[in-house]
Amino acid sequence: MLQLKQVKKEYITTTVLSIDELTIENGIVLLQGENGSGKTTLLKMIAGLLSFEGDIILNNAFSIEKQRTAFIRNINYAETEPLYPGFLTGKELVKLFCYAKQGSIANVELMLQQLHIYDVYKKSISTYSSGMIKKLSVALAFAGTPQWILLDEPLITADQNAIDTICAMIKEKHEKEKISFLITSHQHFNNSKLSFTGRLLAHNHTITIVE
Amino acid sequence: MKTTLSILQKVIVNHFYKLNAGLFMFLFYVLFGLPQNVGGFHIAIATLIVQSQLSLLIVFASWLLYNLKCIDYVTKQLQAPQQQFLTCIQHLGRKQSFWYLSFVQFAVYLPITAYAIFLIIIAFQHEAYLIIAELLGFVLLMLLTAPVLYVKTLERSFREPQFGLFNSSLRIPKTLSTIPLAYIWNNRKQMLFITKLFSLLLLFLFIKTFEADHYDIRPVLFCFLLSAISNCTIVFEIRNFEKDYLQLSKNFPFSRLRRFMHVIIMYVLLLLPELIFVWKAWPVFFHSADYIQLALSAVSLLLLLHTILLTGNITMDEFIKIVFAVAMSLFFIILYNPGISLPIFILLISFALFYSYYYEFEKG
Repeated sequence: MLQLKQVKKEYITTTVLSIDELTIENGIVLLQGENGSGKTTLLKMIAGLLSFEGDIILNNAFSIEKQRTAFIRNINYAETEPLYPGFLTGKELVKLFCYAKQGSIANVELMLQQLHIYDVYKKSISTYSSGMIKKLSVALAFAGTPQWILLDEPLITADQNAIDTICAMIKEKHEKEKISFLITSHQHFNNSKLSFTGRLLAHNHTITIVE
Repeated sequence: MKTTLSILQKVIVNHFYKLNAGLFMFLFYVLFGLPQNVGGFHIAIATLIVQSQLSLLIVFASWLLYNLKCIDYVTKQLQAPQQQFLTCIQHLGRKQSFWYLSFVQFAVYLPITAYAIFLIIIAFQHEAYLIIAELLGFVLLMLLTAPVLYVKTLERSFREPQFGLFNSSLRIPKTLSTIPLAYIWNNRKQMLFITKLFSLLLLFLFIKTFEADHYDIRPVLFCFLLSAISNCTIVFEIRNFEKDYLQLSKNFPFSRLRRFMHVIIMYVLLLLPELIFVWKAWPVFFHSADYIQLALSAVSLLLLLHTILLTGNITMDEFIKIVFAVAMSLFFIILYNPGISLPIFILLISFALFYSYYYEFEKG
């Protein structure tokens, strides 16, 4: 469970996100909203990539403000448009993420095989297509044993096979390891592939729960 | 004709000097600000160069590196999307294009040409006519070959030049400490090579020319910090790289202290050539026990510059002013011989800045 308390994000004088109180229950949660409504900002704030006013508390135990390292250990994040140094190989990046997240390299490698990008695993990222980089970023978000995985538009640039695989991976991780997901997407999810336990709406610079 | 030259001057030449203002300011300070007897110092150096083929070879090597830097810059400018309009120059014909671009080469290579003229005058006084011929030949070669590459670039039949300097990629474990260094190695080879050549040459010249009448660590510390500070453009590049590519590492469950340790390791690795080379000054200029002070001073100085860049979106121009101010302040403090307390103090300030600004920093 993620509790957001008096969370506010401003750029100079413009408020981009303001949330008084919000509790996001564990599960697979879909965050929807128009472009610029603050979806990515929210995800980046929870992932520790952006500074903000207020606090976010994980499972009534870890505050991002006070126990940042413990909080972040339980949150993984995949960006919409991941940007990795082109001179690194996929393997080097997987090793780095698994070292940082204390995850199993073999597990990530298995996901890369499922996503059909294992054959470029040892090649420089500069040789990857945007779809391959996106798949790599999704696989990296599964490294370790987080309690929440935040996926920002995980299906863009993905082909139908990859969409099915990613949905299956999310479902399996949630059912077997009780990992929760917060997913933003403009694409329509097929309910038979993935069903959401909750929905959030980003609108007017705030986030509300859709009943 | 005047208009074309004026446009080339504004678009390429002026921007080149603006971009490298920090380097030129730094060199100017080192070459004209530091020596007590500027004239005597330069004549002595020039005499040394014109009297030895080996010294001349070293000078030619450094001039060649500078020329590679110029070529790299000009060809990139000519290929840049915003400079596409310059391709109209080729409609004047190859010969005309060559002379226009020779003007560009002459302008960016001017500091070297001016110094070469100075060396020719000194060589003339020493009747070293072979050296004069070599100097003239080298400078003319540099001035006339580069424009040929520029013309080919304009004609788009020319691929981006690959000079083959350390073309191999760096095979080291990729951690948060080494990834920025791997970036510098892969993408900023010339900058790295020129910086290291300069900083090691500075140390070498100090060790060879300075004569101490009693033991004092301050002169070597002063020179060592100058060597370290010449890495400032690399520090700036590292921060830019971190801003663009390593933001996601904020999602790694590392404490601020651990992250700070990563930065320390990174700068120890970056300064490794200087940290090893400075042992040439042992035991005349420093005792073994004082090595910690030397090493810590250099590393903490780069850490301070790195953490200053965390405080906001600082431009290169602003950064060079900050570097200059920091260097001046430090060198003034060193006069009072603060010992090991100075690098420890800098280290503490750096950590305080890092602790306060690491998560606050956002790319503007």
